[in-house]
Amino acid sequence: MANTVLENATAAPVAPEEPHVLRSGETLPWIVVLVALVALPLVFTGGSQISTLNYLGVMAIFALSYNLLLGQTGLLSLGHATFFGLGGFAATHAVLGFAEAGVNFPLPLIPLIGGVVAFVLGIFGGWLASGRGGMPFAMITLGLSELVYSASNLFPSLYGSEEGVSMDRMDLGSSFGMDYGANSHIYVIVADCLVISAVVLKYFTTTPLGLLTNAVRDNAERVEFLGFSARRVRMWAFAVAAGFAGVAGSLAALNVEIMTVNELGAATSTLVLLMTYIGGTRTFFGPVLGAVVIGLMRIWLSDITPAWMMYFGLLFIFVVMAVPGGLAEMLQGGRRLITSGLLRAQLRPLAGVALAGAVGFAGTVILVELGYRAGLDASLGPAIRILGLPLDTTRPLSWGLGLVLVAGGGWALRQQLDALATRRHALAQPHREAVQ
Amino acid sequence: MGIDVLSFSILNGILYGMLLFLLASGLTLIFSMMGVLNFAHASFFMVGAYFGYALSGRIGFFPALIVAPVLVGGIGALVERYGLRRVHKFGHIGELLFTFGVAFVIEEAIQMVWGRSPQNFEVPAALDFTAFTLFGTGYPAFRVFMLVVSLLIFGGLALLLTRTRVGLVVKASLTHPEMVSMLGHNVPLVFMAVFGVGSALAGIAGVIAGPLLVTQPSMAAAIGPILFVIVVVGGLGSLSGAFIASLLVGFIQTFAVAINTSVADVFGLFGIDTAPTFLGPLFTDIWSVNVAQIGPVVPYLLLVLILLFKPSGLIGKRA
Amino acid sequence: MTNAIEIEDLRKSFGPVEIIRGVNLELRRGERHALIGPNGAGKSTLFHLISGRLPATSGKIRLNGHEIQGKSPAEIAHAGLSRSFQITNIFPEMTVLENLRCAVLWKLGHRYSVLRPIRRLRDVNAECERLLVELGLQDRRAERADTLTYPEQRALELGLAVASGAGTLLLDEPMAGMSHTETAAALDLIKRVTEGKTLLMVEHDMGVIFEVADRISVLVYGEIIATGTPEEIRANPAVQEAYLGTATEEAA
Ligand SMILES: Nc1ncnc2c1ncn2[C@@H]1O[C@H](COP(=O)(O)OP(=O)(O)OP(=O)(O)O)[C@@H](O)[C@H]1O
Ligand SMILES: [Mg+2]
Repeated sequence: MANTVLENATAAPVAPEEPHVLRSGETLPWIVVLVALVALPLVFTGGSQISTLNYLGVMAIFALSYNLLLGQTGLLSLGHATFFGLGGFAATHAVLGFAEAGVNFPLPLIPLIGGVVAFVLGIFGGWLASGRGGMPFAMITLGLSELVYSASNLFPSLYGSEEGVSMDRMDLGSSFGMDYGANSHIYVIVADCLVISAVVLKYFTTTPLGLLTNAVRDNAERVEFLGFSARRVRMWAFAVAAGFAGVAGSLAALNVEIMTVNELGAATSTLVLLMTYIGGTRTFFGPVLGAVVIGLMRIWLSDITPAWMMYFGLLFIFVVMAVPGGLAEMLQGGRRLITSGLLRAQLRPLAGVALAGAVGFAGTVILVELGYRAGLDASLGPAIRILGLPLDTTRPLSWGLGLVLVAGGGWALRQQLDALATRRHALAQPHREAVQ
Repeated sequence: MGIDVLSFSILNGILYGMLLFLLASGLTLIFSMMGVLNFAHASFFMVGAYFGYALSGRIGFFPALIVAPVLVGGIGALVERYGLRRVHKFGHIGELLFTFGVAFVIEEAIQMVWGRSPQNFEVPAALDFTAFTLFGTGYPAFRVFMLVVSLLIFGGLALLLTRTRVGLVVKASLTHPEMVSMLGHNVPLVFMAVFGVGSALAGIAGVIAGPLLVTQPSMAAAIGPILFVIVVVGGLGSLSGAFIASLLVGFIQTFAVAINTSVADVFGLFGIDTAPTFLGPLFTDIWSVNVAQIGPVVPYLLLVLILLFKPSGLIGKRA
Repeated sequence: MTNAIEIEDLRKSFGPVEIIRGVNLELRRGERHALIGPNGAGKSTLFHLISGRLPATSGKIRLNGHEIQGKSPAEIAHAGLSRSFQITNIFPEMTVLENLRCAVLWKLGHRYSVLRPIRRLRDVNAECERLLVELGLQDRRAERADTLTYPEQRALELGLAVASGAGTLLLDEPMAGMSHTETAAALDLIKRVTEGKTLLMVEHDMGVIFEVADRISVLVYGEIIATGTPEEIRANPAVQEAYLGTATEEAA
């Protein structure tokens, strides 16, 4: 339904040169990322704001590494956080170890240690998990990560007890003119790591092995008949992804100076899956977009509503069902729409779709918020303000309003989408004749 | 370990194993028929427990034992009809992601309605007595009841699969997926039914397990990965494999809880009382590990061992 | 000189049903051999056994004198065998060029390499260019494979098989479902790209077979009932009864 909106966003022919899912000619996202990395710390200067930026950067690297599996190799891992966490613990122990030995190891190189440790572990884990793709892979990665997670309380000296393992990033002394006390110093490391990771991962897609990962995603069986082992391709993809997850985990450790076993648990794996998929797996920078959007939502939304996790889940299902290309592809569709010059002709049905969607969305929000107030937060009393409306969980009218909006919005959305499709069909007609 | 602990552990192991099989069988059926690994399966189990809890407060435990699974099955059928079927065109990854999303939303919805703390789902009064006494220790009637229900369903499922036409086709399609087309025009309906029945089975498991395990929002996340271990260890798509693996995991986990020995105790038998510190702190960790702590880890270790030595699973044919 | 392929008493059962029932077959080096037989005779299954897609129940298969029965498809490919599929089996979301790149990587020795971007690998580019021209897909190089027309997809399928540079090729109905003109073009292509190689090809079109094949084997119900030159096969009464009779009727 809605996916057709985006996929048919342009009737104009797509440029024939590299219509590959990971276009190499896309320079705009790189520019946006670089400009954002330079500009953001100038705008947000507070210590905690910088720490938030650091968190987003960490998640961006984490999601990029995850997409090497999900988008590029077609592998759904449910245990990617294992390597994020193990990398983070490796980094933490490295800092502690160097500090104790009195070695003045440059802090910016610590993520390298976490990355290498995670990479090596990733070779082993990847070999175990990679015999088959698809569902077995998903189950096995889940099992392996549960193994590490459940075994972690057997080794308190490694993972710490409940509170985790903490360290002081200033213990390694200064290097490169920074003492790493301020969050902005960590930002420099995170931003550099993000750029380096993106460049390396992008480079990876252009190599023979990178091409083979796509081939395994498309048709693993055929790869075998061409002489390659799909298992080895998966294993290397897994290991490289693990390595960069380890880098991200190390940076997370440096940012908050503490690692807990939660970092390698299922919740973190789920988070990176959500970020990556919602951002968009078919575009190189989609995961970065997802990490930023979901990361910010996680921070802001959790302040204003108890239902934020529910919204994540619903958004995720919506993307899976309606926009499998994620936010990035929505943006691209919008851009193509504007440059195609066909925007004006479709303005009316597009506005209709937007309006109907907004109504349905408002209804969903009302129902969800009422639900939380009636259940989880019942102690706060039945009266609640949602989207500016004074509602009450005990009044059927409030629930009715939500239901009507959802149903009406949904119905209207269908109509408007049909209208849009008809419009586009009509617009595409002369073009088709021209081609033939 | 005395003979008393041993016999109770065997009973409990069978009980837990049968419970796991109740879940794993539904998962396997759905997987074999539809090629979908349902990540929300454990969530349906949890919904069953919560529905069972909520309903038994109003209509009593035994009616709830019927009604709750029916409701869960209905939800499952709806999820298949309006969700899964639509993402089918996006391939296996799309389906996996969808059920994953459903699991996520169900966990949230449970918390939305019932809150984050455990519910006080009590054993029904009619079953709250000691069934028999062995070696001076009583065995609760509710556990016997759980065992009986699991066995009944196990038997019913076996009959269904060997005696009815649809059952035969379902069974045949476990080993020969192309057999599904034998169902003729009704394939979508059968898929919906299989998904619904599989979910309902999970729902029953939820209702009978609710009072015993703790009915709380994390119960799905706790049992879900174990189920996947069972399905992989048993061999993807193999019902008998799932059965063996369920009992195996059931026994491992019950016995681990029953045995209260640590590594140190073992060495203590040889007169070594303190951890040799020269081997480093990691070794000291291992030294103080006791078997009960290892319990939760063992199923996953089993998974790794199977992957290393018999990747197709215990009874795996479909590679 | 050893034969390219030697098959000895090869058997394959699916459950209780034996589909390949004791096949013996020898392919001489450099010969073009056609495998014919009615639908469901087991031709594709035989190809799957030779190429390692399916394990045999019993029997021996030798490629250039080396036992390959029980080996994986990749190992068999390394030993010098390549195949195409009856049901098009390409990389649908990748471009034509990328499809071919994957197919030439192994023989050019860029095996799981990350040393240089693939764009910079001259040998890969040159080889892909040559293949694109040969397959007539130059103009389609940047299209996603799943957007190609059916004959183009079949050409790509064939291209993936020949690109690996293997000395022995198995082609499973490379022209199935094509029109007359398309068949003629495809036949031309096959003759060109398999020059000097050993070829085993399943085909239903008798005209094509008598034009290409040096020898023909007839597979009926999992058994080879005759092997010989086209003339011998044409004259063989058993073949006429079992297969050709029906085939010519169908064609008429
Ligand atoms: N995986 C399988 N399981 C069970 N039976 C199979 C399997 N694969 C093939 N068969 C059966 O084996 C027989 C031979 O099939 P095969 O595809 O080899 O025939 P073919 O000679 O290639 O026919 P066609 O000319 O139609 O391509 C058929 O009866 C088919 O139903
Ligand atoms: Mg065939």
